[in-house]
Amino acid sequence: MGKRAAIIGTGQTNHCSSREDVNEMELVYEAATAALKDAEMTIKDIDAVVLANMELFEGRALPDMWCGEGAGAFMKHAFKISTGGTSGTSGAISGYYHVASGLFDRVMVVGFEKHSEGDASGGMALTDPFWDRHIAAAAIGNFALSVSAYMADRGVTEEQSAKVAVKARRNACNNPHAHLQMPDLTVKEVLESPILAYPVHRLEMCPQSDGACAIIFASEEIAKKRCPRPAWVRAAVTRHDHIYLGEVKNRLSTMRSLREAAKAAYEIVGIKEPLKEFDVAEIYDPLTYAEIAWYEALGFCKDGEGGMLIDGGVTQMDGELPVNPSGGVISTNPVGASGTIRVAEGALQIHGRGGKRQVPDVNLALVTGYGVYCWSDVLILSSKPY
Amino acid sequence: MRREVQQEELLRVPVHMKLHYRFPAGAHYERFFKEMKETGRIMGVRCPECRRVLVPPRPVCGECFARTEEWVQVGPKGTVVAYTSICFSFIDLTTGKPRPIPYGAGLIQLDGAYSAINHILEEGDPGKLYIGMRVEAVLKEKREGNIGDILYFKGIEE
Amino acid sequence: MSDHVERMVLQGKVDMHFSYAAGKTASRFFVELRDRQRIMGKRCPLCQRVIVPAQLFCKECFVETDEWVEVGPEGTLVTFTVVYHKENHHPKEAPLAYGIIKLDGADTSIVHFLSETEVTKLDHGMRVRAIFSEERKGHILDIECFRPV
Repeated sequence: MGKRAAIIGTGQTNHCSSREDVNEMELVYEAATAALKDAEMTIKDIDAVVLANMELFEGRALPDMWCGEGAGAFMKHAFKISTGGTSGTSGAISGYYHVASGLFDRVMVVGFEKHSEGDASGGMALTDPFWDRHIAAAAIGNFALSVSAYMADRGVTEEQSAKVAVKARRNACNNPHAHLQMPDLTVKEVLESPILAYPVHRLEMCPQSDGACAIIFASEEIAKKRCPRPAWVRAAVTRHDHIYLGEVKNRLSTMRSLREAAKAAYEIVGIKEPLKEFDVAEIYDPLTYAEIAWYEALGFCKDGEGGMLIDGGVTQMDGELPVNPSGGVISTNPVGASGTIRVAEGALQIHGRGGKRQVPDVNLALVTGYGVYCWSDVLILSSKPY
Repeated sequence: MRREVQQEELLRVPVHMKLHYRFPAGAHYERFFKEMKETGRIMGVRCPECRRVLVPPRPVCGECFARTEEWVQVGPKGTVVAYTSICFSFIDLTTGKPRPIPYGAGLIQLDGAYSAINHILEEGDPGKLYIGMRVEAVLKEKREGNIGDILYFKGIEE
Repeated sequence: MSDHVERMVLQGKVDMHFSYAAGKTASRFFVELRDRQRIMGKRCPLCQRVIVPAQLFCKECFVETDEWVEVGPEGTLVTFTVVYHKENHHPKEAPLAYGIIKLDGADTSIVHFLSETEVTKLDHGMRVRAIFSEERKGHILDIECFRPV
């Protein structure tokens, strides 16, 4: 067991389709300075820096070289984490490990992405050159494949999927940082949006955003001194599944990596009934169907009942377990930052700094990350250190 | 969506990246591609521990971390286990040009294999595709020893 | 390892386009180059260094720079090289000379082409001057090269 560590500050840029006014390093700087301000620290207080990014999207072979100084990495211990969509949560887990190891007391993690500068679909298609590169149609196509199988398997409907999109874009209106804020979106509009890859409509898919998010982790002594209500990391688990898409059976139905990661994390904290015990969840939903599938994989309900949770409003802001008060990845998706944002939003809820998206009395928050075909991260944050 | 209106001129710097790589296939992939090129057979390998037949063949079973050595012929018939029809335009990185759309794509579990392979379906209309659909690999006449030697999978009556 | 004979090799090709936002600070730097043939830096309010090309923030002090300062167009050649081998990714035909130039009034140096490709005619500490391109587009190559003076 490592030493106790907590998140004491977070900072985000405003996320949107194209940030013309800053280059990528300046975007990183914006998030880093916001987190330092939130934690009432200066860069001199930071011992180590972890960067998270999807390098191929912007054609930067070494994003840490291009952008590290924006995170204050100059003359500091610095690392880069790049694990696809999980980069942001894996970066946060790495930041936690730094502090939990006892070797560092104050660590800043910054996730970032500038989708507007490159070709994300192209970057995603740079998979194994022998098998997939000439066939796969990037994230959307690969997802669409598992959606058709998931619908057949579990009977999830288009309407249930569309309801997730409506919930996400409405929640996003309470989040000043969110990219897609659509207060009046309807199920009908979602289902009338163009089909990108059968059966996935444009409004069921996450956008491509420019944005960055920073988190500051601190050791127990510092967290207690500097933060009135630290968000303690109680569990951090990562699981990687097979890398060949054809080897994962019914990916959305089984989602083995998320099930295994959640099981391990729940065991560490002693969670028996996740729907009842968690006060809020920020889960990585790259598209609507995934959110429903994750409800099942995370044990919020039995397999096959995910659609009923969204029908019953259980995961709405006023439901039993609000899921993604921030609007989620469906509303905001600067990929390298998307996982970091989940962790920051979970911490924000515990800090009580959620503004209009604050859920009352949050003591226990569940955070997940999703990457590549099926890699998963699960973090559990708590208002109590043990 | 941006907070403030920017008055000053904001510039962009364009970069065109053209890169060449060479990927040695290694013994397992090489045998798969040679077999397909020369005989038209699709081959997988069996894990000595979990007994799963993996296609594409890999030297190590991901689950058991065991070396795979037993070769098994699979397909050419198989079953669609997932499908989609790609309707959005995107740049095919290998050509730098948009890939023609719409087209059908699926995960096909070849007869005798555990894992499915990701490939193109002849049928692009999602209304005519279904899970459990029986399909067969259609190979090129002049094969070159790459995954493109399978042109697509076509629906079959059984 | 010598018994390993590499046989089948797949040729891979990637063709991608990128478009990088300069951001407001670098945009102004480029606009000054293009419209006024001026090279601009920004001063850090804490360490007082003049950083060239102009940057939004000082990477040592981690604070925003505030004061715009014109530097050059003359400066000192800190170091240099002449590249003789050819590669597809090189921006110019070999022999290709480039160096690190500390412009007068600047505390950091910039990397740029040198007009002189004869090694014996280049020297550390020599004085050089920016030559601007005839056709300027708001790009670092609006400075064509540096020429010994």
